[in-house]
Amino acid sequence: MFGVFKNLLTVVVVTSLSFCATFAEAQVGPPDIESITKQGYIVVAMLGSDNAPFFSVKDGELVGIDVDLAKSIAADLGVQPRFDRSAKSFDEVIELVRSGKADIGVSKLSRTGARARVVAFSNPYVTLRHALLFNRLKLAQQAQGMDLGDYIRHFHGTLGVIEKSAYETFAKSYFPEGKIVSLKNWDAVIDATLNGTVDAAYRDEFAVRAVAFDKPETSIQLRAITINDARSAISVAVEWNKPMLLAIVNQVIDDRPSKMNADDVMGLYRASIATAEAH
Amino acid sequence: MTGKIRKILLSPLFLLPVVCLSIIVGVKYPAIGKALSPVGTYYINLMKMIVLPYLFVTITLGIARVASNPKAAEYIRRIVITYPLALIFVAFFGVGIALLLPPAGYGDGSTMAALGNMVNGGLSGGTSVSNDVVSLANTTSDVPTEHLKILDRFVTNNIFAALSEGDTLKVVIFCIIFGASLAKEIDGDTEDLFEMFKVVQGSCVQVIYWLTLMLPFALFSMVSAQVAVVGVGPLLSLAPFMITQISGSLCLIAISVIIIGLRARISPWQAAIRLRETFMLALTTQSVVACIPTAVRDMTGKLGFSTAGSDLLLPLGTTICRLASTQYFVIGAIFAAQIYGIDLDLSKYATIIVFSVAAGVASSGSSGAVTVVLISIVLDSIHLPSEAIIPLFIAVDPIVTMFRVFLLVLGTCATTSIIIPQSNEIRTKSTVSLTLNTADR
Repeated sequence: MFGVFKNLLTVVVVTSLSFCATFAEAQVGPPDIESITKQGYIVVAMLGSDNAPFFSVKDGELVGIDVDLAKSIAADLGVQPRFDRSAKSFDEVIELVRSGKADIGVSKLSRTGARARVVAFSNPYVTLRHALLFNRLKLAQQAQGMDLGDYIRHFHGTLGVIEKSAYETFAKSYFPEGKIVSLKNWDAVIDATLNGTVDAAYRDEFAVRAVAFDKPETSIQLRAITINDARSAISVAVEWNKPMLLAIVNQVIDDRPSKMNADDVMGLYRASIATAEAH
Repeated sequence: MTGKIRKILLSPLFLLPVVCLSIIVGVKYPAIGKALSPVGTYYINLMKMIVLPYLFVTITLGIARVASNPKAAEYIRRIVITYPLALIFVAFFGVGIALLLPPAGYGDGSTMAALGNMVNGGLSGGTSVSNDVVSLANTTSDVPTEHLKILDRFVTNNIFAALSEGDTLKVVIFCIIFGASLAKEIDGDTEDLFEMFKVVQGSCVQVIYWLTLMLPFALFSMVSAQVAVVGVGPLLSLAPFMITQISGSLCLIAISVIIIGLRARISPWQAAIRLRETFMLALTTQSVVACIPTAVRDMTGKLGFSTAGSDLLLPLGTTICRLASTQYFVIGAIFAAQIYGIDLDLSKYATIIVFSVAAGVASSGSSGAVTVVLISIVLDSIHLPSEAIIPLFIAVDPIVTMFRVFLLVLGTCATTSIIIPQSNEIRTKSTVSLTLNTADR
């Protein structure tokens, strides 16, 4: 009898204690922020392979636009950023955030409808127009004097995109008549375009322009065409049930002096290459 | 006295060291070369200043003389046969030389990178990548596509506008029509007008004669500026292309000189010596129209071809029978095919030849970069991209155009010598004195 009473008492005490604790927590701050400040770090999901000038390892140190942004967000939270670079594709970064393994994803992520269904997106911190990098020979053979705009609007050739990236989604919606070929990474897409396996590579204007900068020998074969009215908003992905965290991320982004475009990104990229060469 | 000074100033022994020195200055001290470039520009401007009035009176007179000549039909028949044949010959020759000396060379990685940077407009120099922009929504902000209306280039709706814009081709067409109408009824009044035209022509020639005295100075500044502007990089990476173009031009120039020599019944060597002023001007001024008066003087005064024919055919030939452009397009198209690794079969070669002749005709009256852009007519015909090739050609055009102008002038002298008979009094003296020359005009 006494044993039963003792057990009951324990349950009551534990329950009331934990209730008090929860109450006390609620008084301190929102739970999504609280859990981060309590653990002392924020987990930032970032693609494993480098994407300068957004994120890359230089002299053993992770640097770039996205790294700086993640650090600013962490600073506003009063914690340290902890980068999780286990993701092998952009979609895997989203998955890390969706599953709660990471608090935020800062990884040159483009917003798409499919992604917005599983994670919350911040305001964009960089806006990049879409661009196509054509194999010039294929373009000349297929367009045959057609107006370039008309040809691209009714594009029915083969487009190369990075697999599990936002451009897989964009390609389907913007070029419904085109055949889409997903390849492992950007280098593979460029190689496929050079050897004519695909007619054009499809990504943002910065990535396309960087090819001419990194591999000038390809400029005879490849032609960049920017699409003026298709833009990709590069944003931070936040777990869907962390509204206050999203608000802080937005605040950090809005407080930046200006929003970046492809020219700014290209300028940073050149500067990073120049310092790398100077080392 | 001036005759002696002139002889010294224009002697090859004096001009050759001047050219060598200017190349050295251009390579070693590009700043000086660039600073000197206005001198050359002023010189060309002075030449062009006098050329339009000269062309106007010369072609009108030429047409009037030919049309009033009972043998006019014979002339026209010869022109109609000679010009197309010459163009086709030149196109075939271009194919031959391009097969012999591949214009794309055997490009390695670093060459391709250098060419790529040229396409990107000197990206490493900090300028942004040239980039085409299109819209998915059908708006008007798209890249405008150039529609080359060939016929628009021939006829003007305002002769004074054509004159003030220096549109040689339209002026030539107008002069042909005007000259033909004058020849319809020749009476005292028209003769008076012809006399007046002759006076204008004479004074134009006088101005050109004065200007040639300044040639060595202009030559120095023009060559050093060109070398300084182009730099060594593009010259090295596009060396095979330039070698093919230049050797093709030089071979055809040699053939032209042989033809002129045969028609003038002198040795080719003698013909070359008598044409040396034309040679120097053609090689250095990069302006065909600036060479015409001198070429006419050399052809009539020193080689004894009939004045009426030369007056007409040299301006006409350089304007519509674009030998040099045709060869340039043929070699350029083969260069593009080699760069893109496209194997050309016989039908493709035939297409290149046909369209190069057409593009050559379309290039009538244009010069420099405008001519280069017309390569797209030929490349489109064999479905090769032209937008990456044009910047490369423009980069080395200051050098290649020298030989294009050289070939066009000499080639036209050759076609002229085929079409017109030599006047009865053949000058056999190896040099013709200045007094004779002056009396001639």
